[in-house]
Amino acid sequence: MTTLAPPTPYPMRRSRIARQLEASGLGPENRCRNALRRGSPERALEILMEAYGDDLYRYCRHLVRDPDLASDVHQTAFVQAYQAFGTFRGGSTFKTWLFGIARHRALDAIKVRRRRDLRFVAADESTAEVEDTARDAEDRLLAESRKQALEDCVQHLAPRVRDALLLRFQQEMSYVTMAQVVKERAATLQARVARALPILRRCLEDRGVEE
Amino acid sequence: MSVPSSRRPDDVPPSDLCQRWESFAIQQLAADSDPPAIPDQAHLEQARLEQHATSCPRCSPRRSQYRRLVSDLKHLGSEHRPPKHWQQQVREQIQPLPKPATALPPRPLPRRLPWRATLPLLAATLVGCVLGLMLLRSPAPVAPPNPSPAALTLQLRLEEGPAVHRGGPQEELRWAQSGDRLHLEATPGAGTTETGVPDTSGAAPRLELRVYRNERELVLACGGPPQCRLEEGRLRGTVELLLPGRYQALVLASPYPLPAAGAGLDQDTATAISQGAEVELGPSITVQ
Repeated sequence: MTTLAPPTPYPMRRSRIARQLEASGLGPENRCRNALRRGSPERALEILMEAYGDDLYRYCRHLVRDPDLASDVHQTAFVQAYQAFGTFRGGSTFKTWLFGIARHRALDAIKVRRRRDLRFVAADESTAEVEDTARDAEDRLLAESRKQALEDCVQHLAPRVRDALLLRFQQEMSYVTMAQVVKERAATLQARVARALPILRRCLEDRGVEE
Repeated sequence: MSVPSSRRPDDVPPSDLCQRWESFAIQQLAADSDPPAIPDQAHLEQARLEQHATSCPRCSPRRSQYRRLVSDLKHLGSEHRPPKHWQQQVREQIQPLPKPATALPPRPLPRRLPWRATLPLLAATLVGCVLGLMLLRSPAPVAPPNPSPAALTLQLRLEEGPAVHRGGPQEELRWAQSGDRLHLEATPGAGTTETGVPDTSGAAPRLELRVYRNERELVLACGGPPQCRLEEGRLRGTVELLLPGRYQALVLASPYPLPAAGAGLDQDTATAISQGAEVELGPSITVQ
């Protein structure tokens, strides 16, 4: 027998009712705010983990392209959010704030990994290229489904473009919210997303999954 | 890998209209859900391009491609889940840390209030001052302080069916096997809830447990016997998870009669909230 579940917050994926709940004070944003008001950062963290844990992991996973690293970044983001509750000024939602923290940690992790890779592989750059090419070829063979092909195409986008695309479509954020997370202008982000769409379409066509 | 059709969109030479349509379609797809209003004359151009796209052998399939692409992007990586027990690992990481300061997040205010908007505020302040003075002159008996508030809660417990053995606490509540039994226990809130909604009714709130399957089918709806039990002010119920699907439990509490269920999870919840009910939702449990 499994004994479980403290009072449960609402999963945010269903955005329409989530908005209604938020408006009536039942959503995770208000619950988190009230938990902090009551001086309970642990409860606030639980609410954020339940509400945004899955979405944030998906985002981290696509940013760092490595499940183990994504898991580290994901957990670090929540730990840092817990430590930084006192500095949260309420200028954005907790979700935006949390995604901003995760994004910074993901970029740090990518930098560290790049430095490490350079240190060990820089001696023979051509090896890396050959490996990449081989991996690409292998991926193409393995990409039997459209989903895999799309994952692959998205991963081949420039990091900033991929970031904008994921926030816009995967996380369904508005450009105004995205601008708060990424610290860039909303119009710039929209242009980036618009440029990415035909690139992705062509990429899928090239991989033979788009007729 | 799919077989290419006999005539791909790229085989058809693009026209100027094709290029304009594609550019327009991409902007529409990339825009927020509520795109800005466009001038009237642009509507004509838009209609012309849409008409072209429906009949053009190059643009028509391309439109489907873009729509499918955006739809796929929304579900991209939906199979990626954080590792099991990640929440527990985060809890362990924060345990040795000093408790953070929890300064109250200030509510965002408009940058500058127009002077007309400040009039009601001034009037309210004035009325408040007058009432305060009146109260000072005739002191009323002071009510005892409210006891520590408790929120409406929903506790779930999964009882494994026969021939099923799984371990692990907490996060396994998201998954169940056919034949498992889900025990529910709702405790009414008292005083002020976590949501900040004050319970001013004074009367015991009506409680109702509900369980939906796939957000549409109502598997359980009970406010008392015979389907549920009322024990020590708590409402308890049990559901046998027989059919595969996604189950979601919720408890409703209200001093007023609760609206009838039957329109699906989203609609029922929204209706209840709009009628002043307090709602607590359980996690989604997938029965395989």
